[in-house]
Amino acid sequence: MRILVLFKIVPDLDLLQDKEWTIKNTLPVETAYVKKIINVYDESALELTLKMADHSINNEQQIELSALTIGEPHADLFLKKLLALGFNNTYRVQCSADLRFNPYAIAYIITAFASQYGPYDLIAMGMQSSDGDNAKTALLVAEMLTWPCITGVTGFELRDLDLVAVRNINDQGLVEQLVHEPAVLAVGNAPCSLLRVPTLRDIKSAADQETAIISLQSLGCDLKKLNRQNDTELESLNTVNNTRAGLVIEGTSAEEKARLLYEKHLKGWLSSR
Amino acid sequence: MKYKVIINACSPSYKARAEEILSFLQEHHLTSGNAAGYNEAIVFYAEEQKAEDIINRLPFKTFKMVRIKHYQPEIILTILQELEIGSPAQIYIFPGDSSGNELAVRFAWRLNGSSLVAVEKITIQDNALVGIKKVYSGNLRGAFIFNYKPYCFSLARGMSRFEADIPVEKKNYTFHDYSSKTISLQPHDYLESPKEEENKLEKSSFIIAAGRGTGNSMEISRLQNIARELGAELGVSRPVVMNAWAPLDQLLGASGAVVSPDICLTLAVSGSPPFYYGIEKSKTIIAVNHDEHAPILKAADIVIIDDYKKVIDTLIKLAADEKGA
Repeated sequence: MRILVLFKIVPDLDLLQDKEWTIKNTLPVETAYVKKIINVYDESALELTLKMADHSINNEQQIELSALTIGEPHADLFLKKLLALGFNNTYRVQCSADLRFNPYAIAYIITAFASQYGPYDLIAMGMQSSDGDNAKTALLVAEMLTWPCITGVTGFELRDLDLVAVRNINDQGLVEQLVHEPAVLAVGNAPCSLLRVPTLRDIKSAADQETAIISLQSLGCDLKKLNRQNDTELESLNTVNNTRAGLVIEGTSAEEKARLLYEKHLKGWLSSR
Repeated sequence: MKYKVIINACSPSYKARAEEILSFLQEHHLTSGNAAGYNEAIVFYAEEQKAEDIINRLPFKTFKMVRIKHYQPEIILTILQELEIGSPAQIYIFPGDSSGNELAVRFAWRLNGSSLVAVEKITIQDNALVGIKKVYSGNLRGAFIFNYKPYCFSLARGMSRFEADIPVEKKNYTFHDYSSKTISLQPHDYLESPKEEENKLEKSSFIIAAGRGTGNSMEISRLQNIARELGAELGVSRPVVMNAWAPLDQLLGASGAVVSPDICLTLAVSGSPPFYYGIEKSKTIIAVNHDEHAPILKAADIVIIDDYKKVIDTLIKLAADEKGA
Protein backbone atom coordinates (compact mmCIF):
# COMPACT_ATOMS: atom_id res chain seq x y z
CA MET A 1 0.00 0.00 0.00
CA ARG A 2 1.29 3.44 -0.94
CA ILE A 3 0.31 6.33 1.31
CA LEU A 4 0.94 10.00 0.66
CA VAL A 5 0.76 12.40 3.60
CA LEU A 6 0.59 16.12 2.97
CA PHE A 7 1.70 18.72 5.43
CA LYS A 8 2.12 22.44 5.66
CA ILE A 9 4.67 24.46 7.59
CA VAL A 10 2.91 27.32 9.37
CA PRO A 11 3.87 30.09 11.79
CA ASP A 12 3.19 29.23 15.43
CA LEU A 13 0.40 31.78 15.87
CA ASP A 14 0.20 31.13 19.62
CA LEU A 15 3.48 33.04 19.93
CA LEU A 16 1.96 36.24 18.58
CA GLN A 17 0.65 38.77 21.06
CA ASP A 18 -2.60 40.72 20.73
CA LYS A 19 -0.91 43.90 19.51
CA GLU A 20 0.67 42.02 16.63
CA TRP A 21 -2.78 41.37 15.22
CA THR A 22 -3.61 45.07 15.08
CA ILE A 23 -3.49 45.54 11.35
CA LYS A 24 -4.64 48.26 9.00
CA ASN A 25 -6.34 46.24 6.36
CA THR A 26 -3.00 45.26 4.89
CA LEU A 27 -2.44 42.06 2.98
CA PRO A 28 -0.83 39.69 3.61
CA VAL A 29 -0.04 39.37 7.31
CA GLU A 30 3.72 39.22 7.80
CA THR A 31 4.63 36.08 9.74
CA ALA A 32 8.06 35.35 8.27
CA TYR A 33 9.78 36.10 11.60
CA VAL A 34 7.58 33.76 13.65
CA LYS A 35 8.84 30.28 14.61
CA LYS A 36 7.61 27.61 12.21
CA ILE A 37 5.79 24.40 13.12
CA ILE A 38 3.98 21.64 11.29
CA ASN A 39 0.29 22.54 11.07
CA VAL A 40 -1.33 20.72 14.01
CA TYR A 41 -3.84 18.68 12.00
CA ASP A 42 -1.15 17.71 9.48
CA GLU A 43 1.07 16.65 12.38
CA SER A 44 -1.70 14.30 13.49
CA ALA A 45 -1.99 12.93 9.94
CA LEU A 46 1.75 12.19 9.90
CA GLU A 47 1.70 10.48 13.30
CA LEU A 48 -1.45 8.43 12.57
CA THR A 49 0.19 7.21 9.36
CA LEU A 50 3.32 6.18 11.25
CA LYS A 51 1.12 4.32 13.75
CA MET A 52 -0.57 2.53 10.88
CA ALA A 53 2.84 1.55 9.50
CA ASP A 54 3.92 0.30 12.97
CA HIS A 55 0.91 -1.97 12.98
CA SER A 56 1.61 -3.20 9.45
CA ILE A 57 5.15 -4.23 10.43
CA ASN A 58 3.61 -6.58 12.99
CA ASN A 59 1.27 -7.90 10.31
CA GLU A 60 4.03 -8.07 7.70
CA GLN A 61 2.09 -5.91 5.29
CA GLN A 62 4.07 -3.64 3.00
CA ILE A 63 3.41 0.04 3.37
CA GLU A 64 5.30 2.73 1.52
CA LEU A 65 5.11 6.15 3.16
CA SER A 66 5.66 9.39 1.28
CA ALA A 67 5.40 12.93 2.62
CA LEU A 68 4.87 16.03 0.52
CA THR A 69 4.89 19.72 1.29
CA ILE A 70 4.60 22.77 -0.93
CA GLY A 71 6.79 25.72 -0.05
CA GLU A 72 10.26 27.05 0.47
CA PRO A 73 13.52 25.46 1.73
CA HIS A 74 12.71 26.13 5.41
CA ALA A 75 10.52 22.99 5.20
CA ASP A 76 13.53 20.77 4.42
CA LEU A 77 14.50 20.30 8.07
CA PHE A 78 11.01 18.96 8.80
CA LEU A 79 11.26 16.64 5.79
CA LYS A 80 14.61 15.36 7.06
CA LYS A 81 12.94 14.55 10.38
CA LEU A 82 10.24 12.59 8.58
CA LEU A 83 12.88 10.53 6.75
CA ALA A 84 14.41 9.73 10.14
CA LEU A 85 11.00 8.70 11.45
CA GLY A 86 10.53 6.13 8.72
CA PHE A 87 9.03 7.87 5.72
CA ASN A 88 10.42 6.22 2.60
CA ASN A 89 10.19 9.26 0.36
CA THR A 90 9.91 12.98 1.01
CA TYR A 91 9.10 15.62 -1.56
CA ARG A 92 8.93 19.39 -1.60
CA VAL A 93 7.32 21.27 -4.43
CA GLN A 94 9.32 24.47 -4.64
CA CYS A 95 6.91 27.37 -4.43
CA SER A 96 7.55 30.83 -3.02
CA ALA A 97 4.14 32.24 -3.90
CA ASP A 98 1.72 33.08 -1.09
CA LEU A 99 -1.05 30.50 -1.45
CA ARG A 100 -2.50 30.84 2.06
CA PHE A 101 -5.93 31.68 0.68
CA ASN A 102 -5.80 29.66 -2.49
CA PRO A 103 -6.74 26.09 -1.54
CA TYR A 104 -7.73 25.53 -5.17
CA ALA A 105 -4.10 25.98 -6.28
CA ILE A 106 -2.79 23.78 -3.46
CA ALA A 107 -5.27 21.02 -4.31
CA TYR A 108 -4.41 21.31 -7.99
CA ILE A 109 -0.67 20.96 -7.30
CA ILE A 110 -1.27 17.97 -4.99
CA THR A 111 -3.43 16.30 -7.61
CA ALA A 112 -0.83 16.90 -10.31
CA PHE A 113 1.84 15.44 -8.02
CA ALA A 114 -0.28 12.39 -7.15
CA SER A 115 -0.98 11.75 -10.81
CA GLN A 116 2.71 11.95 -11.73
CA TYR A 117 4.29 10.20 -8.73
CA GLY A 118 1.42 7.85 -7.86
CA PRO A 119 -0.64 5.85 -7.89
CA TYR A 120 -1.32 6.23 -4.19
CA ASP A 121 -3.86 4.21 -2.26
CA LEU A 122 -4.45 6.73 0.49
CA ILE A 123 -3.84 10.45 0.72
CA ALA A 124 -3.94 11.86 4.26
CA MET A 125 -3.71 15.47 5.44
CA GLY A 126 -5.04 17.77 8.12
CA MET A 127 -8.57 19.11 7.72
CA GLN A 128 -7.42 22.75 7.75
CA SER A 129 -4.41 24.93 8.42
CA SER A 130 -3.99 27.48 11.17
CA ASP A 131 -3.29 30.46 8.94
CA GLY A 132 -5.66 30.13 5.98
CA ASP A 133 -8.48 28.39 7.90
CA ASN A 134 -9.88 27.46 4.49
CA ALA A 135 -10.83 23.85 5.38
CA LYS A 136 -11.15 23.07 1.65
CA THR A 137 -7.93 21.46 0.41
CA ALA A 138 -8.69 17.82 1.31
CA LEU A 139 -12.20 18.11 -0.12
CA LEU A 140 -10.97 19.64 -3.37
CA VAL A 141 -8.26 16.99 -3.76
CA ALA A 142 -10.94 14.30 -3.36
CA GLU A 143 -13.13 16.00 -5.97
CA MET A 144 -10.26 16.50 -8.42
CA LEU A 145 -9.27 12.85 -8.10
CA THR A 146 -12.93 11.73 -7.91
CA TRP A 147 -12.06 9.81 -4.77
CA PRO A 148 -14.18 9.55 -1.61
CA CYS A 149 -13.18 11.72 1.31
CA ILE A 150 -13.53 10.98 5.02
CA THR A 151 -13.44 14.10 7.17
CA GLY A 152 -12.78 14.58 10.89
CA VAL A 153 -10.58 11.48 10.98
CA THR A 154 -9.27 10.51 14.42
CA GLY A 155 -7.51 7.25 13.54
CA PHE A 156 -7.05 4.62 10.87
CA GLU A 157 -5.52 1.18 10.47
CA LEU A 158 -5.05 -1.36 7.74
CA ARG A 159 -7.55 -4.24 7.94
CA ASP A 160 -6.85 -6.01 4.69
CA LEU A 161 -4.91 -5.42 1.50
CA ASP A 162 -7.23 -2.73 0.19
CA LEU A 163 -9.37 -2.09 3.24
CA VAL A 164 -8.75 0.54 5.87
CA ALA A 165 -10.70 0.93 9.11
CA VAL A 166 -11.19 4.65 9.67
CA ARG A 167 -12.51 6.29 12.82
CA ASN A 168 -13.94 9.73 12.35
CA ILE A 169 -16.21 12.17 14.06
CA ASN A 170 -19.12 13.59 12.13
CA ASP A 171 -22.35 15.37 13.04
CA GLN A 172 -23.84 12.11 14.29
CA GLY A 173 -20.95 11.27 16.59
CA LEU A 174 -17.99 8.92 16.45
CA VAL A 175 -18.12 6.49 13.56
CA GLU A 176 -15.94 3.58 12.56
CA GLN A 177 -16.13 2.49 8.95
CA LEU A 178 -14.31 0.29 6.48
CA VAL A 179 -13.02 2.26 3.54
CA HIS A 180 -11.94 0.73 0.28
CA GLU A 181 -8.94 2.46 -1.18
CA PRO A 182 -8.34 4.86 -2.75
CA ALA A 183 -9.57 7.57 -0.42
CA VAL A 184 -8.62 10.97 0.93
CA LEU A 185 -8.51 11.22 4.73
CA ALA A 186 -8.90 14.67 6.29
CA VAL A 187 -7.57 14.37 9.84
CA GLY A 188 -9.27 16.31 12.63
CA ASN A 189 -8.82 16.27 16.39
CA ALA A 190 -7.03 12.97 16.88
CA PRO A 191 -6.11 12.26 20.52
CA CYS A 192 -2.53 11.16 21.24
CA SER A 193 -1.21 12.11 17.82
CA LEU A 194 1.69 14.44 18.55
CA LEU A 195 4.47 13.59 16.11
CA ARG A 196 7.07 11.30 17.66
CA VAL A 197 10.68 12.40 18.04
CA PRO A 198 13.38 10.54 16.08
CA THR A 199 16.19 8.89 18.03
CA LEU A 200 19.83 9.61 17.29
CA ARG A 201 20.00 6.22 15.62
CA ASP A 202 17.01 7.10 13.41
CA ILE A 203 18.67 10.34 12.41
CA LYS A 204 21.97 8.62 11.55
CA SER A 205 20.30 5.91 9.52
CA ALA A 206 18.46 8.52 7.43
CA ALA A 207 21.50 10.76 7.02
CA ASP A 208 22.07 9.77 3.39
CA GLN A 209 18.46 10.12 2.30
CA GLU A 210 17.49 13.24 0.44
CA THR A 211 14.26 15.07 -0.18
CA ALA A 212 13.30 15.37 -3.82
CA ILE A 213 12.72 18.98 -4.83
CA ILE A 214 10.15 19.33 -7.57
CA SER A 215 9.36 22.37 -9.67
CA LEU A 216 5.84 23.56 -10.42
CA GLN A 217 6.70 23.52 -14.11
CA SER A 218 7.54 19.82 -14.00
CA LEU A 219 4.04 19.18 -12.64
CA GLY A 220 2.48 21.30 -15.38
CA CYS A 221 1.29 23.93 -12.90
CA ASP A 222 1.08 27.56 -13.99
CA LEU A 223 0.77 29.78 -10.91
CA LYS A 224 -0.70 32.74 -12.76
CA LYS A 225 -3.42 30.53 -14.13
CA LEU A 226 -4.02 28.91 -10.73
CA ASN A 227 -4.38 32.32 -9.09
CA ARG A 228 -6.80 33.42 -11.79
CA GLN A 229 -8.91 30.31 -11.32
CA ASN A 230 -9.17 30.59 -7.54
CA ASP A 231 -12.88 30.51 -6.72
CA THR A 232 -12.69 33.11 -3.95
CA GLU A 233 -10.40 36.07 -3.47
CA LEU A 234 -9.35 37.67 -0.19
CA GLU A 235 -10.32 41.31 -0.35
CA SER A 236 -9.52 42.63 3.13
CA LEU A 237 -8.59 41.68 6.68
CA ASN A 238 -9.80 43.11 9.95
CA THR A 239 -8.87 42.63 13.58
CA VAL A 240 -11.17 40.58 15.83
CA ASN A 241 -11.86 42.30 19.11
CA ASN A 242 -12.76 39.90 21.93
CA THR A 243 -12.23 42.30 24.80
CA ARG A 244 -14.73 42.15 27.68
CA ALA A 245 -14.96 44.02 30.98
CA GLY A 246 -12.29 41.95 32.74
CA LEU A 247 -13.53 42.84 36.25
CA VAL A 248 -10.81 41.54 38.56
CA ILE A 249 -11.96 40.12 41.90
CA GLU A 250 -9.39 41.14 44.48
CA GLY A 251 -8.79 39.42 47.82
CA THR A 252 -6.11 38.31 50.22
CA SER A 253 -6.46 34.62 49.32
CA ALA A 254 -7.92 32.36 46.64
CA GLU A 255 -10.60 31.30 49.11
CA GLU A 256 -11.66 34.89 49.74
CA LYS A 257 -11.81 35.63 46.01
CA ALA A 258 -13.90 32.49 45.47
CA ARG A 259 -16.28 33.54 48.23
CA LEU A 260 -16.69 37.00 46.69
CA LEU A 261 -17.31 35.46 43.27
CA TYR A 262 -19.89 33.12 44.74
CA GLU A 263 -21.75 35.74 46.79
CA LYS A 264 -21.80 38.46 44.12
CA HIS A 265 -22.10 36.57 40.87
CA LEU A 266 -23.05 32.92 41.32
CA LYS A 267 -25.22 32.33 44.38
CA GLY A 268 -28.32 34.10 43.13
CA TRP A 269 -28.03 32.68 39.64
CA LEU A 270 -27.46 29.12 40.88
CA SER A 271 -30.41 29.25 43.28
CA SER A 272 -32.73 30.70 40.61
CA ARG A 273 -32.14 27.85 38.15
CA MET B 1 -30.84 36.34 -5.62
CA LYS B 2 -32.42 32.91 -5.74
CA TYR B 3 -31.08 30.77 -2.96
CA LYS B 4 -31.60 27.40 -1.38
CA VAL B 5 -30.87 25.90 2.01
CA ILE B 6 -29.50 22.40 2.47
CA ILE B 7 -30.23 20.55 5.71
CA ASN B 8 -28.75 17.25 6.89
CA ALA B 9 -31.55 15.85 9.07
CA CYS B 10 -29.54 12.66 9.64
CA SER B 11 -27.75 14.76 12.24
CA PRO B 12 -29.47 14.95 15.65
CA SER B 13 -28.73 18.69 15.72
CA TYR B 14 -30.50 19.48 12.45
CA LYS B 15 -33.16 21.69 14.08
CA ALA B 16 -30.57 23.89 15.79
CA ARG B 17 -28.63 24.19 12.53
CA ALA B 18 -31.82 25.06 10.62
CA GLU B 19 -32.66 27.74 13.20
CA GLU B 20 -29.19 29.21 12.77
CA ILE B 21 -29.73 29.42 9.03
CA LEU B 22 -33.14 31.03 9.56
CA SER B 23 -31.58 33.62 11.86
CA PHE B 24 -28.86 34.27 9.26
CA LEU B 25 -31.49 34.76 6.56
CA GLN B 26 -33.36 37.22 8.74
CA GLU B 27 -30.26 39.19 9.63
CA HIS B 28 -29.52 39.50 5.94
CA HIS B 29 -33.13 40.42 5.03
CA LEU B 30 -33.44 37.32 2.90
CA THR B 31 -36.73 36.14 4.37
CA SER B 32 -39.06 38.93 3.21
CA GLY B 33 -40.19 39.33 6.79
CA ASN B 34 -41.23 35.76 7.37
CA ALA B 35 -39.90 32.26 7.23
CA ALA B 36 -41.53 31.65 3.86
CA GLY B 37 -39.41 34.21 2.03
CA TYR B 38 -36.53 31.87 1.28
CA ASN B 39 -36.81 29.95 -1.90
CA GLU B 40 -36.59 26.36 -0.75
CA ALA B 41 -34.86 23.99 1.61
CA ILE B 42 -33.66 20.53 0.61
CA VAL B 43 -33.75 18.23 3.61
CA PHE B 44 -31.93 14.90 3.66
CA TYR B 45 -33.14 12.27 6.12
CA ALA B 46 -32.68 8.52 6.51
CA GLU B 47 -35.30 7.01 8.81
CA GLU B 48 -38.85 6.97 7.51
CA GLN B 49 -40.35 6.93 10.98
CA LYS B 50 -38.67 10.24 11.77
CA ALA B 51 -40.03 12.07 8.73
CA GLU B 52 -43.13 13.39 10.48
CA ASP B 53 -41.14 14.70 13.41
CA ILE B 54 -38.67 16.40 11.09
CA ILE B 55 -41.49 18.07 9.17
CA ASN B 56 -43.03 19.30 12.44
CA ARG B 57 -39.78 20.64 13.87
CA LEU B 58 -38.28 22.32 10.80
CA PRO B 59 -38.66 26.10 10.92
CA PHE B 60 -39.22 26.34 7.15
CA LYS B 61 -42.35 26.56 5.03
CA THR B 62 -41.26 25.17 1.68
CA PHE B 63 -38.98 22.19 1.44
CA LYS B 64 -38.16 18.92 -0.27
CA MET B 65 -37.89 15.86 1.98
CA VAL B 66 -35.24 13.66 0.39
CA ARG B 67 -34.93 10.18 1.88
CA ILE B 68 -31.52 8.47 1.67
CA LYS B 69 -30.23 5.16 3.02
CA HIS B 70 -27.88 6.84 5.49
CA TYR B 71 -25.73 9.93 5.64
CA GLN B 72 -22.97 9.65 3.10
CA PRO B 73 -21.65 12.79 1.44
CA GLU B 74 -21.01 11.18 -1.94
CA ILE B 75 -24.62 10.06 -2.25
CA ILE B 76 -26.02 13.41 -1.11
CA LEU B 77 -23.79 15.22 -3.59
CA THR B 78 -24.93 12.99 -6.45
CA ILE B 79 -28.60 13.53 -5.55
CA LEU B 80 -28.12 17.29 -5.16
CA GLN B 81 -26.53 17.41 -8.59
CA GLU B 82 -29.48 15.52 -10.06
CA LEU B 83 -31.98 17.82 -8.37
CA GLU B 84 -30.23 21.08 -9.15
CA ILE B 85 -28.29 20.72 -12.37
CA GLY B 86 -31.14 21.99 -14.59
CA SER B 87 -31.85 25.26 -12.82
CA PRO B 88 -29.35 25.87 -10.07
CA ALA B 89 -29.92 28.62 -7.53
CA GLN B 90 -27.42 31.45 -7.29
CA ILE B 91 -26.72 30.80 -3.62
CA TYR B 92 -26.66 27.55 -1.62
CA ILE B 93 -26.50 27.88 2.15
CA PHE B 94 -25.25 24.94 4.20
CA PRO B 95 -25.34 24.51 7.99
CA GLY B 96 -22.44 25.31 10.28
CA ASP B 97 -21.35 21.74 10.95
CA SER B 98 -18.96 19.24 9.43
CA SER B 99 -21.39 17.95 6.83
CA GLY B 100 -22.28 21.54 5.86
CA ASN B 101 -18.63 22.40 5.32
CA GLU B 102 -17.98 19.31 3.27
CA LEU B 103 -21.07 19.54 1.09
CA ALA B 104 -20.62 23.27 0.39
CA VAL B 105 -17.09 22.84 -0.95
CA ARG B 106 -17.71 19.68 -2.95
CA PHE B 107 -21.05 20.82 -4.37
CA ALA B 108 -19.56 24.13 -5.53
CA TRP B 109 -16.77 22.23 -7.26
CA ARG B 110 -19.26 20.00 -9.09
CA LEU B 111 -21.28 22.99 -10.30
CA ASN B 112 -18.20 25.06 -11.24
CA GLY B 113 -19.13 27.52 -8.53
CA SER B 114 -17.24 28.96 -5.58
CA SER B 115 -17.29 28.06 -1.92
CA LEU B 116 -16.43 29.37 1.53
CA VAL B 117 -16.56 27.56 4.85
CA ALA B 118 -17.67 29.04 8.20
CA VAL B 119 -19.15 32.30 6.92
CA GLU B 120 -20.42 34.76 9.55
CA LYS B 121 -21.87 37.37 7.26
CA ILE B 122 -22.40 38.19 3.60
CA THR B 123 -22.58 41.50 1.76
CA ILE B 124 -23.00 42.58 -1.83
CA GLN B 125 -20.27 44.81 -3.26
CA ASP B 126 -20.37 45.94 -6.89
CA ASN B 127 -22.73 43.09 -7.76
CA ALA B 128 -20.34 40.56 -6.23
CA LEU B 129 -21.11 38.46 -3.18
CA VAL B 130 -18.63 38.88 -0.33
CA GLY B 131 -18.40 36.39 2.53
CA ILE B 132 -16.85 37.31 5.86
CA LYS B 133 -15.21 34.65 8.02
CA LYS B 134 -12.50 34.21 10.60
CA VAL B 135 -8.97 33.38 9.47
CA TYR B 136 -5.56 33.01 11.12
CA SER B 137 -7.03 30.73 13.81
CA GLY B 138 -9.66 33.28 14.69
CA ASN B 139 -7.24 36.18 15.16
CA LEU B 140 -8.55 38.09 12.12
CA ARG B 141 -11.65 38.34 9.93
CA GLY B 142 -11.27 38.13 6.18
CA ALA B 143 -13.66 39.35 3.49
CA PHE B 144 -13.68 37.07 0.44
CA ILE B 145 -15.21 37.77 -2.96
CA PHE B 146 -16.95 34.80 -4.55
CA ASN B 147 -15.79 34.57 -8.16
CA TYR B 148 -18.12 32.04 -9.75
CA LYS B 149 -21.81 31.17 -9.44
CA PRO B 150 -23.37 29.33 -7.76
CA TYR B 151 -22.07 30.66 -4.48
CA CYS B 152 -21.98 27.89 -1.89
CA PHE B 153 -21.13 28.50 1.72
CA SER B 154 -21.56 26.98 5.14
CA LEU B 155 -22.27 29.10 8.19
CA ALA B 156 -19.85 29.59 11.04
CA ARG B 157 -20.53 27.26 13.94
CA GLY B 158 -22.74 28.46 16.78
CA MET B 159 -24.46 31.40 15.05
CA SER B 160 -27.50 32.86 16.78
CA ARG B 161 -30.75 30.96 16.32
CA PHE B 162 -34.29 31.98 15.47
CA GLU B 163 -37.07 29.67 16.53
CA ALA B 164 -40.12 29.74 14.26
CA ASP B 165 -43.10 27.62 15.20
CA ILE B 166 -44.89 27.10 11.90
CA PRO B 167 -48.09 25.00 11.96
CA VAL B 168 -47.63 21.91 9.83
CA GLU B 169 -50.70 22.70 7.72
CA LYS B 170 -48.94 25.84 6.52
CA LYS B 171 -45.93 23.89 5.38
CA ASN B 172 -45.49 22.99 1.76
CA TYR B 173 -43.31 19.92 1.25
CA THR B 174 -42.76 17.08 -1.17
CA PHE B 175 -41.22 13.63 -0.68
CA HIS B 176 -38.41 12.26 -2.83
CA ASP B 177 -37.27 8.71 -2.13
CA TYR B 178 -33.61 8.04 -2.93
CA SER B 179 -33.18 5.37 -0.25
CA SER B 180 -32.21 2.77 -2.83
CA LYS B 181 -29.78 5.13 -4.53
CA THR B 182 -26.29 3.74 -4.87
CA ILE B 183 -23.27 5.16 -6.60
CA SER B 184 -20.28 3.44 -8.12
CA LEU B 185 -18.06 5.24 -5.65
CA GLN B 186 -19.29 3.71 -2.43
CA PRO B 187 -16.43 3.38 -0.03
CA HIS B 188 -17.98 3.02 3.38
CA ASP B 189 -19.23 0.06 5.34
CA TYR B 190 -20.20 1.21 8.79
CA LEU B 191 -18.76 -0.90 11.58
CA GLU B 192 -20.37 1.11 14.35
CA SER B 193 -23.56 3.09 14.16
CA PRO B 194 -23.12 6.66 15.23
CA LYS B 195 -24.61 7.77 18.52
CA GLU B 196 -27.62 9.88 17.76
CA GLU B 197 -27.41 12.38 20.56
CA GLU B 198 -27.25 16.11 20.60
CA ASN B 199 -24.12 17.49 22.19
CA LYS B 200 -24.96 18.22 25.87
CA LEU B 201 -22.61 21.20 25.90
CA GLU B 202 -24.69 23.05 23.31
CA LYS B 203 -27.79 22.89 25.53
CA SER B 204 -26.20 23.70 28.87
CA SER B 205 -26.73 27.04 30.63
CA PHE B 206 -23.65 26.56 32.83
CA ILE B 207 -20.35 25.32 31.50
CA ILE B 208 -17.08 24.74 33.30
CA ALA B 209 -14.21 24.79 30.80
CA ALA B 210 -10.93 23.14 31.74
CA GLY B 211 -7.64 23.92 30.03
CA ARG B 212 -4.21 22.37 29.70
CA GLY B 213 -3.19 23.92 33.03
CA THR B 214 -5.35 21.41 34.87
CA GLY B 215 -2.48 19.01 34.32
CA ASN B 216 -3.73 15.43 33.99
CA SER B 217 -6.63 13.07 33.41
CA MET B 218 -7.30 12.48 37.12
CA GLU B 219 -7.84 16.18 37.64
CA ILE B 220 -10.19 16.27 34.66
CA SER B 221 -12.18 13.39 36.23
CA ARG B 222 -12.34 15.33 39.50
CA LEU B 223 -13.57 18.43 37.66
CA GLN B 224 -16.15 16.27 35.92
CA ASN B 225 -17.60 15.37 39.32
CA ILE B 226 -17.46 18.96 40.51
CA ALA B 227 -19.28 20.12 37.37
CA ARG B 228 -21.99 17.54 37.99
CA GLU B 229 -22.43 18.70 41.59
CA LEU B 230 -22.77 22.31 40.48
CA GLY B 231 -25.25 21.39 37.73
CA ALA B 232 -22.78 22.29 35.00
CA GLU B 233 -21.38 20.50 31.95
CA LEU B 234 -17.63 20.12 31.66
CA GLY B 235 -15.98 21.24 28.41
CA VAL B 236 -12.27 21.16 27.67
CA SER B 237 -9.70 22.80 25.43
CA ARG B 238 -7.92 21.06 22.54
CA PRO B 239 -4.71 20.18 24.45
CA VAL B 240 -6.82 18.30 27.02
CA VAL B 241 -8.42 16.20 24.28
CA MET B 242 -5.13 15.71 22.44
CA ASN B 243 -3.63 14.31 25.64
CA ALA B 244 -6.66 12.00 25.89
CA TRP B 245 -7.57 13.36 29.32
CA ALA B 246 -11.16 13.86 28.13
CA PRO B 247 -13.29 12.50 25.27
CA LEU B 248 -13.71 14.36 21.99
CA ASP B 249 -17.35 15.21 22.60
CA GLN B 250 -16.25 17.52 25.43
CA LEU B 251 -14.07 19.62 23.15
CA LEU B 252 -14.91 23.33 23.04
CA GLY B 253 -13.70 25.58 20.25
CA ALA B 254 -13.52 26.12 16.52
CA SER B 255 -13.22 22.40 15.86
CA GLY B 256 -15.44 21.30 18.75
CA ALA B 257 -18.65 22.53 20.35
CA VAL B 258 -19.63 26.18 20.08
CA VAL B 259 -21.71 27.06 23.12
CA SER B 260 -23.79 29.95 24.40
CA PRO B 261 -24.45 29.32 28.12
CA ASP B 262 -25.48 31.92 30.67
CA ILE B 263 -22.22 31.32 32.52
CA CYS B 264 -18.94 29.86 31.33
CA LEU B 265 -16.37 29.37 34.09
CA THR B 266 -12.92 28.75 32.62
CA LEU B 267 -10.27 27.05 34.75
CA ALA B 268 -6.57 27.13 33.77
CA VAL B 269 -7.48 28.02 30.21
CA SER B 270 -5.06 30.26 28.32
CA GLY B 271 -7.71 31.44 25.88
CA SER B 272 -6.24 30.97 22.41
CA PRO B 273 -8.56 32.27 19.65
CA PRO B 274 -9.60 28.80 18.41
CA PHE B 275 -10.72 27.91 21.96
CA TYR B 276 -12.36 31.29 22.55
CA TYR B 277 -14.37 30.79 19.37
CA GLY B 278 -16.20 28.01 21.23
CA ILE B 279 -17.25 30.14 24.21
CA GLU B 280 -17.46 33.67 22.85
CA LYS B 281 -21.27 33.59 22.75
CA SER B 282 -21.47 32.97 26.51
CA LYS B 283 -23.45 35.66 28.33
CA THR B 284 -20.90 35.82 31.16
CA ILE B 285 -17.37 34.47 31.04
CA ILE B 286 -15.60 34.00 34.36
CA ALA B 287 -11.90 33.21 34.04
CA VAL B 288 -9.72 31.73 36.78
CA ASN B 289 -6.02 31.55 35.94
CA HIS B 290 -2.87 32.09 37.97
CA ASP B 291 -1.12 33.66 34.94
CA GLU B 292 -1.94 37.36 34.86
CA HIS B 293 -0.84 37.51 31.19
CA ALA B 294 -3.17 34.76 29.97
CA PRO B 295 -5.18 36.12 26.98
CA ILE B 296 -8.44 34.78 28.44
CA LEU B 297 -8.35 37.41 31.19
CA LYS B 298 -8.93 40.26 28.70
CA ALA B 299 -11.71 38.35 27.02
CA ALA B 300 -13.61 37.56 30.25
CA ASP B 301 -16.24 39.53 32.13
CA ILE B 302 -15.03 38.51 35.58
CA VAL B 303 -11.50 37.48 36.46
CA ILE B 304 -9.77 35.76 39.36
CA ILE B 305 -5.98 35.63 39.15
CA ASP B 306 -5.13 32.74 41.44
CA ASP B 307 -4.84 28.98 41.80
CA TYR B 308 -7.98 27.57 40.17
CA LYS B 309 -7.95 24.48 42.43
CA LYS B 310 -8.39 26.53 45.58
CA VAL B 311 -11.07 28.63 43.91
CA ILE B 312 -13.15 25.70 42.62
CA ASP B 313 -12.78 23.78 45.90
CA THR B 314 -14.11 26.79 47.79
CA LEU B 315 -16.96 27.26 45.31
CA ILE B 316 -18.09 23.66 45.65
CA LYS B 317 -18.00 23.93 49.43
CA LEU B 318 -20.05 27.14 49.40
CA ALA B 319 -22.59 25.60 47.03
CA ALA B 320 -22.86 22.49 49.24
CA ASP B 321 -23.33 24.65 52.36
CA GLU B 322 -26.05 26.58 50.59
CA LYS B 323 -27.83 23.36 49.62
CA GLY B 324 -27.61 22.02 53.16
CA ALA B 325 -28.81 25.28 54.72
